[in-house]
Amino acid sequence: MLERSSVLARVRSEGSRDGTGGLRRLRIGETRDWNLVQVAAFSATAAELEDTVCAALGVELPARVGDAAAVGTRLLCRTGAEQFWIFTRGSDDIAAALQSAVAPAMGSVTALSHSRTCIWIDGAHSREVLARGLSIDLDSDAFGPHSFALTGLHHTPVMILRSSATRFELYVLRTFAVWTWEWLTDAALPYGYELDWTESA
Amino acid sequence: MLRLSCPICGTRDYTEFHYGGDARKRRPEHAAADLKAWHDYVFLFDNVKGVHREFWQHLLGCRQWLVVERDTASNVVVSTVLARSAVGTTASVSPGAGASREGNT
Amino acid sequence: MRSPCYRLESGGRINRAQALEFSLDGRMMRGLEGDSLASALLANGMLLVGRSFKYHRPRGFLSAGAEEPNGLFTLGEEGRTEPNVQGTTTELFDGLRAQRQNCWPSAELDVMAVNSWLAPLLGAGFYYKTFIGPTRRSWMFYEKFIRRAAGLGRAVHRRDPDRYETRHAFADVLVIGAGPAGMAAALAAGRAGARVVLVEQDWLLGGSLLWEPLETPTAAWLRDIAVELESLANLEILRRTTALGVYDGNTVALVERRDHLRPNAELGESRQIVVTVRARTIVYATGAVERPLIFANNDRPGVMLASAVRCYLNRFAVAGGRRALVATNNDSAYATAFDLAQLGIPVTIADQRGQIEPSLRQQTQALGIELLAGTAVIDVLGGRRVKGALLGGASEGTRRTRRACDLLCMSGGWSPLVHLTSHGGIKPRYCPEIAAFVPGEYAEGHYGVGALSGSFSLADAVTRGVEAGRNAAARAGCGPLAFTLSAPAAQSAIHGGGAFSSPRGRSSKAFVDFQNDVTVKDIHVAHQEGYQSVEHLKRYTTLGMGTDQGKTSNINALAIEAHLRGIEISAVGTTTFRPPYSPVSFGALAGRNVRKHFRPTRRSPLHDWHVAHGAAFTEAGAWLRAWWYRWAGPTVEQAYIEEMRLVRGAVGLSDASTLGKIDIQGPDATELLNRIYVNSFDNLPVGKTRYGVMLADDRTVFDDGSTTRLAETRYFMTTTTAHAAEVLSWMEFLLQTAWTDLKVHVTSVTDVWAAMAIAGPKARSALELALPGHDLSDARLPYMGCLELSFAGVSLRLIRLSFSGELAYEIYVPADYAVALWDHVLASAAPLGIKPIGLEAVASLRIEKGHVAGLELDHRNTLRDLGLGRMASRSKAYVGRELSQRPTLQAEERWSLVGIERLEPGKPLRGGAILFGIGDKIEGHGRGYITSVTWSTVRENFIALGLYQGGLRHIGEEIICAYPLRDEQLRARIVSPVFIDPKGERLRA
Repeated sequence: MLERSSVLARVRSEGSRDGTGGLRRLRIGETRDWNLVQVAAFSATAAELEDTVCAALGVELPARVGDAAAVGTRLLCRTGAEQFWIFTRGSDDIAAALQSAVAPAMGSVTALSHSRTCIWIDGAHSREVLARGLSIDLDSDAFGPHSFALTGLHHTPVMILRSSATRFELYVLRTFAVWTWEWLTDAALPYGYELDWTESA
Repeated sequence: MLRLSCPICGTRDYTEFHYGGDARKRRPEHAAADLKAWHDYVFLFDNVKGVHREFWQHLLGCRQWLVVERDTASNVVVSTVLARSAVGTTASVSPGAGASREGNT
Repeated sequence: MRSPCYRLESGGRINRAQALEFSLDGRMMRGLEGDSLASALLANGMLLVGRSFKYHRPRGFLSAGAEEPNGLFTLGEEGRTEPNVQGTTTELFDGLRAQRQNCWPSAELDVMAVNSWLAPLLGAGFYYKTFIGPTRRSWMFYEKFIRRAAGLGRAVHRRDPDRYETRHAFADVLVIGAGPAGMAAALAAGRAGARVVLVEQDWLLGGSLLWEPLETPTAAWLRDIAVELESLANLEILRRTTALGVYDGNTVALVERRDHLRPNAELGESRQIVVTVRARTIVYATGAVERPLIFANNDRPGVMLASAVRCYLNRFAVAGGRRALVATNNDSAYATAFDLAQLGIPVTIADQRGQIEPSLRQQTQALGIELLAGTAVIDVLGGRRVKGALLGGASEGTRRTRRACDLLCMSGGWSPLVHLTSHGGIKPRYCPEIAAFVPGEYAEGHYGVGALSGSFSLADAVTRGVEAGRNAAARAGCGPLAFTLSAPAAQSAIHGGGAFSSPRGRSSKAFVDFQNDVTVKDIHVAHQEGYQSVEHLKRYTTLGMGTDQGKTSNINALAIEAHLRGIEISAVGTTTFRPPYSPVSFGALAGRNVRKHFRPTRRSPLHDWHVAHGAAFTEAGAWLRAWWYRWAGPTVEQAYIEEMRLVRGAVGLSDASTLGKIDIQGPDATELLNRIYVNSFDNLPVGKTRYGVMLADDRTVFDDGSTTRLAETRYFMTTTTAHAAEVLSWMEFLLQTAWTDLKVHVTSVTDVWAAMAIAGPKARSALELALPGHDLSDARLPYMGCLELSFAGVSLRLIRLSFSGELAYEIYVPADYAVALWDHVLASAAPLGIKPIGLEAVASLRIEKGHVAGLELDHRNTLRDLGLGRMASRSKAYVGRELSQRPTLQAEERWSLVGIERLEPGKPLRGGAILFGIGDKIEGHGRGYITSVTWSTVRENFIALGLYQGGLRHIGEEIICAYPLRDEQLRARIVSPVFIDPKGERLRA
């Protein structure tokens, strides 16, 4: 067997840090063991593809770009007029099933699981930390739980997903993940943070 | 900072986008064996003052190419549409006509 | 000389219980919490705060705010040194260290004050006259002297140990300025439910209300409204924050200063934070600043703006002097006179106007103030401190009188701060009623209130502030709101505009721009010499070009120029207002984007392995790439040769993960490839790979790489590391803007797949050891073939192609498994001597094979130039084809690819060397140049690739490789660019 490894394996040995007043106001970690598949239609086949994906997964797809629909452990994101990103957990890898359901003339299915690393940050101050680099409005009225956005951090593409009122997940390109981690923990420094690897088994 | 309204992702800083040239030009047919048409398309540009049509790609967002109508003198953005639905259409606003600053939503 | 304490017994917005220690030029002093550096110095009797820019004249504080031109200090020490900081806007904190500037050995005794005698030399146009014309050469002589003598504080060359931050913010309503108008606007918008950001450069809210005595209805009103603003959850108040500039898209840059918190960089605390606010609407409540009057020696320490004197008096409980003269051309300065008189300070008012409002006249009488109507200051007595003033009638020829005073308060009227409203290119408009410029117009969603709008009434400020706040909130979708706020009954709502009276004569000691030492005479000189437009006047005299950007000087200068030209001030116009409104440090602008956070770094999935196994790294764009390994030698020069030998003799493994990888799917995938590559992909079978070259529209070679057909409608493309992002974007451009009928998707999978290249005569044997049970024979996996296989439950792509010219394979593995597979290959093929090899060796092996790469693909060369002309299909169109046909590109003598072999051992062949024919004169651009050089283990010699006029038509000829930078020349020979295995037998083995 080949062992699967996280790009953040090296930073695991780094310790948590106290912020101002000796407090650790944030938790930061990596979430592992998830899959990502991209499904996209051609403009003429958009409706057909949505029907096919709905049938294959047994769920409705979100109507609005920027909204994520959670169905069980699956998370469906509409990332474009005719494009979806679907996150699943563990052995629930649906890429092959979608590949066989979506005919080449209807659209494309691309497995992207290994392309990204998921870094999460939780705490009342998480939004302030992220606002140091992300130029999108993270106010809960504009960007509530299950909102996501494809945006940039220092000219690198990131997907930011709000998983709860205080918790955000950053899906960053794997090759930029260590840099992003360094950036995020540095930005979080004054708040203090506890590293949490419980989701990175 | 210039802000552009991506029809897919919403209004974002221009730093998420990548400028892609003059959108008033029409690319010659792929197989066109017309040296002059290609020469003019590739090398000849107007330096527009006023409302200009430009290609921009939402590089860090949905990666869609857009056609942006922007006043090059005031930097006011008049309209932003997906390129695939706009190519071949003409400018919706003539230069200097009541251009309004785009909202910030 | 140190004077006794000027602090009053009572009053002021200071905490008398909290003393703060600070130092000036190393001398310890005490101030109080709530003090500015300026007020603390004045309380200590320090009137002399520095020497002027050119003439080294003694100077004191002119103002109490952000318009201060004189009171600039160097704060901090060593790496924290920050020059040119205004003492008036610096909040005092314990341990603050300040130094006065531009004086030596001290401000009191300044050697360079001799410059005053040189004033005739240093006047208007000094720089122009020195640079241009017959005296041009004299700059060489003057420069050292001038650089030493003129100037303000100095930056240091040490690393700043502090941290700075940048952050993004969003607001429905951004209110700039927390005076009465701004507070009213913020409260109205906040009550309407809008997300409000209220920005105030001071550490206290209140603006001009802070100049009022404490026990007044105004002060109570201020306390109440501040409490209410604090109570709103949807309203953020940013104190100590300056709006630097207003930009496109309603974006406003702010800088927040946190020095008073003594931030600890170790804990990640920032000293300054630049905030970029994207606001739906903006309410400007930036207020106005008082103008100086122009008279001889109006720059003497002790001559201050009347409003500043009042601010020091009521806000900081500091009396600027013991006997005051108030010189004014408007009503507003009377408030200062009254407050001084009430404290028992003898006051004389010299009002340029003949007619004085009867109520003011009565009050002056009641307070025992001497009022001289129709009287102006003509000259100031005293050197390092005002001793008195020479007064005269407003018209020439009247009798002159003297008055002793140690404080001269002046008011030349008020100028609205139109900087921010003008940043969008909107020119301000001259308003004759107040003799000042007001915002010309407002962009949609922008509102201006308070003194900025030219109305100096407090009631007006509050009413219109509320209205603007409500309108801004409504425009942002909040409200409607029924809300009213009444203004306090002010005792001293007597702001007034002051008409300009042109100063008499052309005094060389009547200062217009205090910071840059520009006098009335300088403006006259500029005018006489033809520099009459405002933009010329500014540059010729340097008026308004200091760090204060002429906040107190510009309008006075315009008035003088208008008078000289005999035109209206409105016709003179203003210079262009540009950000920043106040100086901002580079540290704040850079934020945390320094050192390792300067720009993103991209790391291969195998990066940590390389680190752990002795790799040296090199930067390639954003990537950090393994350059060479220590197993092969102690330096790159030795190691890469050892690594090359390994590949030529046995087998080496290199990290190719940085290659761009693109997934191409759809019924028209083949058509897309046919269009963008010069060669055809029509007949490529599934499971086969083809090398492809693509051109840019202008026919230059854009990129190359291999593309594998995975299925009928699916391809796997690789690009060069450098052009990966561009190639994807280019294909998306073509598909979305031109070829919209093609049904094909392109997706970057660069980060999905790690890639490793295994190369050398033993490569197949190594793979067979690593992947037992898989048939990897030449028949099953021939040259340019691809196998998708599963190993230990992991899907791999195996593509047989070669960059080095040896038998070689590329292995693609999902990124998370990269380290495990790499380790596995090295371990299982260890008996064959396999070792990792770095980028330097890979790039050198390809030179031996004659493969072109980034150094040859310089966006100028055509396919033919690179010896790839035969790749182009004749049977189909491809991007760049038509422009490739241009006659000039077919010329036989174009510079094209050749191999070069060194003929003189012991001399180095260098990249970038210029190529000449034997007998050519060694000058100019020559006949070509060397693009890539390496030591060849096969030839045991230095070899190179290069571009040479006429290319391989000159094969076998001797040439000269010249390297003028080192004055080197060496003989070499043009040879085939393929130095090894021209028939390709090795890679097909």
